[in-house]
Amino acid sequence: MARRIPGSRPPGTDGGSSGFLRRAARLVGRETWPPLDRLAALAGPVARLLARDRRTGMAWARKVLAVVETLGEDHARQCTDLLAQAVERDPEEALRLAETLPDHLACVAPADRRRLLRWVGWALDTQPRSVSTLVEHLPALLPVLEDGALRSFLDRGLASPERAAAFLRLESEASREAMASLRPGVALEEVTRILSLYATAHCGQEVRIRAAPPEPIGPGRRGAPRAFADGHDIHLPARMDTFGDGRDFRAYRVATALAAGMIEFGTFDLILDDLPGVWPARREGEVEHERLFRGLGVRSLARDLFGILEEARVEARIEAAYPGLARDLAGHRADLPDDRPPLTALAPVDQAVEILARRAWHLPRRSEEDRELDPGARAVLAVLLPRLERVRRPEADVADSARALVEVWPAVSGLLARSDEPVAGREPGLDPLPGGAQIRSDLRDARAWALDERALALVAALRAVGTRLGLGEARAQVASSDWAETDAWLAAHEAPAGPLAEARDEPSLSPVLREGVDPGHPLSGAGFLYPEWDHTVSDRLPDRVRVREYALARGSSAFADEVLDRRRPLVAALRRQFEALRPDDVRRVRGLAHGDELDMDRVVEDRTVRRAGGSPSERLYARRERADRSVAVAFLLDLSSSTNEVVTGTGQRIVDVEKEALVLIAEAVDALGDAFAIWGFSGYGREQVAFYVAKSFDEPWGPAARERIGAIGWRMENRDGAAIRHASRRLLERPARTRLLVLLSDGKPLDCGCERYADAYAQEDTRMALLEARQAGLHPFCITVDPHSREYLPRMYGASSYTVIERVESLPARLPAIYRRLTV
Amino acid sequence: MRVVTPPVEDFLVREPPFYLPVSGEVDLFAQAAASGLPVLLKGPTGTGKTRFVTHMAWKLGRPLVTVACHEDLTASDLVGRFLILGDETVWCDGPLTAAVRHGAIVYLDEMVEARKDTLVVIHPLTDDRRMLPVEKLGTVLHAAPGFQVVVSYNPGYQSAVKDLKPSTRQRFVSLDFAFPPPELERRVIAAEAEVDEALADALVRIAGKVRNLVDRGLEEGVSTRLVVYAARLVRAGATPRVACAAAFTRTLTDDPDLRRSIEEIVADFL
Repeated sequence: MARRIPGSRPPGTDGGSSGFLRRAARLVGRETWPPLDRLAALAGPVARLLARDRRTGMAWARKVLAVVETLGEDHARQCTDLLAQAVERDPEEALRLAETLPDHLACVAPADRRRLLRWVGWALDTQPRSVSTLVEHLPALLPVLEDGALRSFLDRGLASPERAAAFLRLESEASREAMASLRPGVALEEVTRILSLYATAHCGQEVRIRAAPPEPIGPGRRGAPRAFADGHDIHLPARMDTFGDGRDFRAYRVATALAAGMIEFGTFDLILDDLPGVWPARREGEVEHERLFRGLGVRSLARDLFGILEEARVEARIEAAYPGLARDLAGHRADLPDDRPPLTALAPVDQAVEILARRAWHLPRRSEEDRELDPGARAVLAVLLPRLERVRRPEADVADSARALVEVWPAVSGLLARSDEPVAGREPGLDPLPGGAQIRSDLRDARAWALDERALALVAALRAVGTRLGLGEARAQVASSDWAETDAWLAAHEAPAGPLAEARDEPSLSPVLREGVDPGHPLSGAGFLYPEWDHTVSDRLPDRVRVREYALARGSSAFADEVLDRRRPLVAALRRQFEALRPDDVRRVRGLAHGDELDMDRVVEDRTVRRAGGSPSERLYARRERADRSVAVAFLLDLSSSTNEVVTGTGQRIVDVEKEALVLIAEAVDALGDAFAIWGFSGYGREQVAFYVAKSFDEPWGPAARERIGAIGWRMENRDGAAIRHASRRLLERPARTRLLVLLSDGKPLDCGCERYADAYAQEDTRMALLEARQAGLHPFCITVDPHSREYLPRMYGASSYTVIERVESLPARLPAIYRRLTV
Repeated sequence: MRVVTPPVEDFLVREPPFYLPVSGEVDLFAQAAASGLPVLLKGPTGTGKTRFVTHMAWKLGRPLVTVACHEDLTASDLVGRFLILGDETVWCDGPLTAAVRHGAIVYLDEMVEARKDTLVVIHPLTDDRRMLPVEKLGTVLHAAPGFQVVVSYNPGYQSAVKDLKPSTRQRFVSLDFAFPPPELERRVIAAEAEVDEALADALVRIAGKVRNLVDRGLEEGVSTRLVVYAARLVRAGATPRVACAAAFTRTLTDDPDLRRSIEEIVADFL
């Protein structure tokens, strides 16, 4: 809020500093000016600034005191000097700088502030027009780039002031590349897929790699990059730069291997009630080992000890199974700088934890261990270390680690009680090692929790009938989501005949596995009515779903035009490739009894046969026939609301990627000459499954169809069964030798508009709809972008009738290749 | 007119081929053979289908006639044709006719690759008629005792055009082939490549891990054949890592991320 400044003469040019300040205070509207003497040293420079450029001077005068108070006089003076240089070069930039510099300066770590100001000075000399933009981004750049690298980065980024902002925000491709090449270490995003595939191969189940929450910064913590396992996903630090060279990837790899080992070797398979003792009742959303820690009292301490023991156990298993990995792990540890905290800095109980950890990690002994170790800690270690050896035995499992923890607990908690530390509020004491893995179940997502809840319920249900089942096995059973198989498996695992046989009728078994049966009522009236398959009664429910068909309104062709323009080289290549697949227009059919011309091969053969005394043939003619590929394909697009999700890294929504893929495949199939249709489906509840027609078989691929593709958007639910049945009906109306139904999907069939259409019911209905389609002579094929689809697609589509697209953004390029494979 | 039939000795399996039974397939095949039933072997590439047939032919003492099917295979290629030799016309039996005469096992490898009109000729041989009409000779051949049709089929090809029609499938009894369990696969590798158990074990476990990546970018898993190749390379002097890179990583994929992760898995074991 600029006030009108009375008088035209620039004030205070003569160095009368306190007089100036008082006047300045009046000008900026503050009647009382706090301790003026603290500003005395700055008064002159500020006054000179005000004299050179009134607006910048005024803006700065308003802030300068706060800057002194929060950042110190030194920084305030440096800022003032920089502003003085700035007004010389570009007054507008100077004003912006005066407004923003203090805030950005306050954002960076104290050690980096002088560095930031130095870079501002550099920018004023070299890139004065971009200096305010630079200031805005320096706080983010300073911690990640060394000065030399930062210089190269800025040289590239600030060359053009127009593009500087986007470059510095890392929004442009060039800037990301520059950043990646200049930063030391490895960024997680560069290796996420490699590590995810690596962990998936090891565990035999889909394991996602996610960025771990940033490490807490606190006194005494070195902030080592930490990795976590939650039993489903692996959480890794966003960047690994411990070494600044190729060894950083190795650090990622060993951390991933340890976390994957925790999944493979059952760290999350503890069932607490198998341990002797009385444990607190399970709370919802609590994993078993956390329940153990709660039972023991001091959770942070119990968590540290259990984590060390489990990591050591898993590591021992890994070493036995993977000799190459064991070597890398040892090499990684040997290369780490020895910067463990000194024992003198630790309370007795933490000394014991620290020594246990060092032994677990095979770190070399330090001489201080003999001098500084507290006698109480020494006594506890005498109990702890034999347990460490025990969990390293090849037959040890997670229950042995838990048992070891329970056994050492009296000694450890006794030591904790004797020390001065507040018992209850003990912070997690152990500083992690780079390249290690910690157990943290609180990072799980909802899906992982739901899976574990169901697995635990399954274990409990089976125990109730006297059958013991490991949690890991239960999890695999539940994850396979193959309900019919689960039922059969349950039947096989139920208690044998005998006293427990009555328990078969125990109702507690079924609610875990399926919801109550709701027969519903048949529908009538307009639209297309279809049955639905109810696997719980193994029967069709007649007239259960209503499908209504809608022709999509014509939208704008902008979407398709943009795609065709952006992908022009790909479109041209596709059209060329697919035109080559077009069968030769005419084909010579040989061996006919009647035809346009003689087939000379046959004539010669016939002459030979006659001479040999054989029976003559009449099939001596050939004819040229028009060849017919006779393929009709329908693309059926799942338009459920989840397709609204943005694909990480691209900013595009799933539905837009799918639309883009459709535009491209349409070009390709059009070039090939196959008949094709493009349909979408969504809806809400069984009364209103919506079936959208973007392009029908009879319509040519032209502006109208392109505009309707542009109008496709995400809607609500996906009741796959009904949509497939309707699509089959439409496709069967099309005469062709090969009829292909390609479903583009992003997840399981699910209709929240109805209580039942989820999980097993929905999947079994979809499976049945596909079976019906296959029996009618259609070839259904599913292309999905859901990484978890391997859990349910094989049962629905059969092992070879689906494809999982690993990276959604690659769908447009992959779809034509898949189509070609399907039809050639 | 002279009729030339390749002699039966050409089709006899002389050396016993190495084969480890997985789950009763040997007995089942023998029972099918005793009953003259045609057999369909289903399974991905490199799981031992061809080896199994060879083994069974040796075990049952039958000649084995193998035909690799392809698109341009005609009925004449299977049945036979006239050839002019000098001034003489000679009838040359095709592989199918030869097998019918010798009472051999005829093995049509990758049957879906052949055109449908070509395969029609085997239909009367696969039911209880067991006969082959040879139109050009104006005769009908009745299959000698022991004659049996065996076909193989890889269901993973995903082509809607090259699927096996139900009416064709219905003519066969089917055997499933998959990657053998690790213990068996280890013995297969050790025996086939003549390497020690430790190397065979490491290679088999690498293959097992890599097979977890099928559908996650990998089209097909490491076949037992590829594991044998890797082991043979090592035996011939390659380092295990180089052998795995050549037999697994580069063979399976061109995707750089996948290659890197497979390399890391290989490194874990060696």
